[in-house]
Amino acid sequence: MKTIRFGMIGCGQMGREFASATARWCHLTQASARPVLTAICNRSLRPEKIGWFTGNFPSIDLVTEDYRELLASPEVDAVYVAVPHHLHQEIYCAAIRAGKHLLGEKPMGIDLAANEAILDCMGRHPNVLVRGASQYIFYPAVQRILKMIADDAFGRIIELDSGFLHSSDLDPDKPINWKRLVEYNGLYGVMGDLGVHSALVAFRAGWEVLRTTAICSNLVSLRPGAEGWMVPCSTWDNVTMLSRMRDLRADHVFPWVLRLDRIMPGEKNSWYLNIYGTKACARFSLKNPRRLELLFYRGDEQRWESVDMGFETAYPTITGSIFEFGASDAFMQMMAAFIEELAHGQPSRSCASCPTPEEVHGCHCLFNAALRSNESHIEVSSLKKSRPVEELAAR
Amino acid sequence: MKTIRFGMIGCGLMGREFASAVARWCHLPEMEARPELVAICDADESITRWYRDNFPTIQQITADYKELLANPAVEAVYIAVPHHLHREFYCAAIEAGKHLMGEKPFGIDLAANRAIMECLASHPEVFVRCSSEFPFFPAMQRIGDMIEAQAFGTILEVNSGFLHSSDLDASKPINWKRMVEFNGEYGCLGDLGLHPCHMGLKAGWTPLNVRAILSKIVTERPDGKGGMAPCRTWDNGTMFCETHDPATGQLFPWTIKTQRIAPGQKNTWYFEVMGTKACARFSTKNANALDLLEYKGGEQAWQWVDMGHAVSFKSITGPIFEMGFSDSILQMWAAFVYELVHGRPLKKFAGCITPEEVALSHRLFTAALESHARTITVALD
Repeated sequence: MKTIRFGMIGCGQMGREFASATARWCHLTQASARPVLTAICNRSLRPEKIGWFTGNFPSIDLVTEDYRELLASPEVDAVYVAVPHHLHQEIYCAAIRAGKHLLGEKPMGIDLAANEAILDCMGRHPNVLVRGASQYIFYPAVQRILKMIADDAFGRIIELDSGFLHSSDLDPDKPINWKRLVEYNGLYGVMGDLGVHSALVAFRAGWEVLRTTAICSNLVSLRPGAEGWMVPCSTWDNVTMLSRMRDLRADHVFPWVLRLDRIMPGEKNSWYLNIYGTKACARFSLKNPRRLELLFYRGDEQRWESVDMGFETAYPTITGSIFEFGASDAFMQMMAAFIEELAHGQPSRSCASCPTPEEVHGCHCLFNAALRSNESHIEVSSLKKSRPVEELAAR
Repeated sequence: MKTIRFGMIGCGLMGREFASAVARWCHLPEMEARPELVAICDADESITRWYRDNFPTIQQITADYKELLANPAVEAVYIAVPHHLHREFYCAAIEAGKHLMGEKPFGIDLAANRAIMECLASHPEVFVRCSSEFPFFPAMQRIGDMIEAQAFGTILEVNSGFLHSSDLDASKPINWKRMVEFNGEYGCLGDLGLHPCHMGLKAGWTPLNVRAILSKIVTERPDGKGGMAPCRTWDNGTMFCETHDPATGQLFPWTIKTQRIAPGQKNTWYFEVMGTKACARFSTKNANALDLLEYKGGEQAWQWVDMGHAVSFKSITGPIFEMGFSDSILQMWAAFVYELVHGRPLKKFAGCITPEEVALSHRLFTAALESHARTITVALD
């Protein structure tokens, strides 16, 4: 089997998930290539930060504090980058220029300008595969919903209702971290952190965001800092958006309610997606990752169906089809999507591919409109006013 | 780190899950020992190929389990074979001094189980446990902690079960679990039955008697060769047990359902305990949720908690993230390895099911068969 040598820049929690998935790559029964972790880069090389990696992965032969050294290594074919948002532009562009295929954590740039700089760089290096990391669309129920969208099964879209809700920030004593600081996470606040995971679906569906109204809330303005005293926490905790959407295939307009909340009591990790159409409706939430609710309308009685989803994955695994799907499984499916696309030059199916930079760019345009709407209290155009990628590349 | 060298006899679906768990043992950053797969036994070359291709640690591939048991490099074995082979294989493994994780039901019937127990009694140095993973979901570990702390008060009622649905399709071909010669007279009790008994047996709850109703719903199935084969095993079973709680000395009703044909239930393992001080409910229908009612006087309110990844054996996965089936398998194997190394479980409900607990399930299932046959309530002998 073909091997893809991966470097990792930023060795945190998701880096460990990435590494653990490479260790059990045998779980995927039809993989055409396998990732091998050969190099890691972290800001700190203290054993408590990287000892787990070096202790468990003898394939790692380069350990460095300097990402440039990792990118210069000829033993690295591709990189997984998971670093604070203010570093995205610099490191993603450097990786692309170094000819390394890139799986980069969202939001792929701290702001719209940084995102467009990454797109620009990508346009100049068309042989490098660049994809965003977002695992939630790989849950079997979400795959099924995306397939229904692709098959035009919903009829005319009546409403889209989606979001991503967390709750641990309800605790005012939770210490501050970089995702709560503007200088590392940007002005987007919760949108930069959770937003792409949830907003992605609209762009994957091919729906266009025309205009957006948003209300942003900063609910906790001070948090304990590293030195023991309280420090300002000035990022947006919660954002709710109402957007005017257009279904390009039918030229219909419909509303999209998008909620991105760090503080929603009782919601540990609730990514949800509800689509209501004239022919079918679907509801899913990670609150119950197994359940898919469906309604098919054929002119007779209107009934919701509740389906137990099992392990019906896009990329086949050894796990039996009736069993429960978890977060590590979703992360592994996402990696499989990246690696299959890299091996074959195209995704095996459009529903099961990683977020493209263009889709993520759509998210940035939406988040910018939301920030402006919150400030001006008016509905703001969310249309991508910037040039298409080819034009950016030609600059 | 200490290494425990494993052999595997029977390399099907659950064997692959074990092997994949071994491959990502790094997922458990605080374990002091790790399993390594060094030998496998299966007659089917198309099945062993996956192992050979993915596990360079494997030194022995054989079709003869006796060869594997004779391998001095093998310290422990995982055995997942049809039930009619349990007695022979499990006894041989124990006699060879190999620590054993065996698939349920630990013997095709009560006589086979007793033979395994006798063999075990004469080899007390061998560590033997039975595979059962659902109690390792975070919500069930929490309920286990509550049982240990006697948080439920006097137990009013317990309902547990394991429900499947794919057999609703009458055109599903027959397999060995639907044939008496391989699966035994127990039918669905032998196949599914231990799973819903696990928590109660671990809690020390003892069924004193049982009234059972068993159903054969689909009497023949395609044989896979163009014809039909008789399907004589029990599809569904419901057991109603008068049960003794040693913590309080009180009796309570325990209803256990094992169903191959429960429409809409893809893989529903559930457990529900109602007590005077607290009640709790869990189902793999939503493995992320734990329902709780804690009664301290005043209003009675059910609470619903998102459980995330609150596992007993620390994992690299963040605590908010969803637990999957493969994660429960990994936790179960951590429990086996931990207890093998430390001589005791991390905590009571973070231990795998013991042979003594399994033996009680055989007495229950055997009484259930008699109860159904004679339409009477049968005391466990």
